[in-house]
Amino acid sequence: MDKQAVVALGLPGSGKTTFLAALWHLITAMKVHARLKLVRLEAGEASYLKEITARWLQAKRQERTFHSGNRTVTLKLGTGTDREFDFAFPDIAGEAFARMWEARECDTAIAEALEAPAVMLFIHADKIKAPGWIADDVAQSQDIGIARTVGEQTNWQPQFAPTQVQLVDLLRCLQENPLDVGQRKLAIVLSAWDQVEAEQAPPDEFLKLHLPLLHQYIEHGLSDSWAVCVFGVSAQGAEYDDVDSEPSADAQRMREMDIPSMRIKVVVGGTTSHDLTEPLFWLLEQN
Amino acid sequence: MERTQTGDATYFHLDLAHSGFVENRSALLANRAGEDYMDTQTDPTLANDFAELHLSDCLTLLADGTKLLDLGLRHQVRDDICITLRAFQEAGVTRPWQKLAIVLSKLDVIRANQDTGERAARFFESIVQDVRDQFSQSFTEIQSFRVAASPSAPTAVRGEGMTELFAYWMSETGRLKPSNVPITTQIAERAFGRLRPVKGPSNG
Repeated sequence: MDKQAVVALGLPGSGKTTFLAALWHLITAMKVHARLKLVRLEAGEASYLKEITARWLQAKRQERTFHSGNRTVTLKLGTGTDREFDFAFPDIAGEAFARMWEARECDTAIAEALEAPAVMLFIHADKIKAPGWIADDVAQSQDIGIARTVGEQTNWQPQFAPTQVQLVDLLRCLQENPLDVGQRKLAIVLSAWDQVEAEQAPPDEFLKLHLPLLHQYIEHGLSDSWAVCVFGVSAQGAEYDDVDSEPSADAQRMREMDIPSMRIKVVVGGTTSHDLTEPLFWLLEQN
Repeated sequence: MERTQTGDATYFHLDLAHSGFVENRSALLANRAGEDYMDTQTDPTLANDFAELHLSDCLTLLADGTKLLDLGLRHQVRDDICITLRAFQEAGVTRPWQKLAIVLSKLDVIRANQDTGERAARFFESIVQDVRDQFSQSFTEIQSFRVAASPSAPTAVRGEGMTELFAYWMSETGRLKPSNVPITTQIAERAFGRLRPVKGPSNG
């Protein structure tokens, strides 16, 4: 059995744990077509998978990985024909990646995970922190009648940086020592796709429109040996409820669906499916 | 009713008689905490310690009717049934001659909920269909039952559906039975071939 490691990158709240929960349900329930199948139930961190999937099934928000701790989930996946993989997926808190940007450091365990040749970069499509312009800020303050104090100084903090700046730096780090491993495949996962699909822009186009710096870096800044594919992924289908909150109409709509796997939507190029294994299949596919 | 404690199983022996059957049946029922079976979902090898699984003629899985009424929890019921069966299968503790009964419990509660009860009953049938789709090769047959063993609402009679379930348990098992195979000796066509060695003390 081949061993394949995938590292999932993403800033806090970018949808990595939700992806994992939905994936586990999809491959165990087998209710919709998937390119990768679960070969055996035996999995690393199986109790954790069961726990996050139970929350996903009930359309409840996931607990932040920052609080529950980093874990490496391992799954035995196969293509249904002859290829089988031991698939390792570290579920690392987004804070660890934010710390790489802010403090320029990371733990040894995370550095080891970052050596994987297959990379998934999660970006919450509806929570992109866009660059702020002083002129826009002033105009907005005037519109809503907030008085501005001239001359008041605010010290810049790294966490103020726009999403795309932080992500470009993350990708740049992967191409420099000690994290540079040469050729890689990069699957960009625009999560919460259901929240932005009304824009009717395909994932590639969405990236270009909303994250132009990142798009430009991917086009011209990455080594030629890297392969890139952009996916729009809705692993939930809608906004879920907090664990103790009253049920919302959106979450209730998801619970009412008889086949939970149909909450999932994956858009790549011009095709749409419920197959959440698409990005993994692309990453594991031999060139 | 007090919850079954985790740990060792308790076994109950019943001798069952039914007017429709020639022979009485002895039933051995294992009472083990549901949590113990559920733990096999995360570690299928645990199923190897549950002797009742590979010894039983009929595996019976209960789907909690109350949970099926809850839109969120009903999906968990389906996952629990299918993943637990898969864990048993992967652990190698199921036998191809076994029967499988999927039982909807708390029928009284389902009937008492006019709005959602019908949907819950339909969902239960979809669970049974999923089990058939995934496991029909692993069991001789898969049947569904609906019971109200101890109803709390007047919408079902106490023990409703249990007779059918008992009858299923008592029905002919698919277990392979030993039978006498007559010894046949092939007679050789030539007289030489019919000679046998003479037994006796050797001259040497």
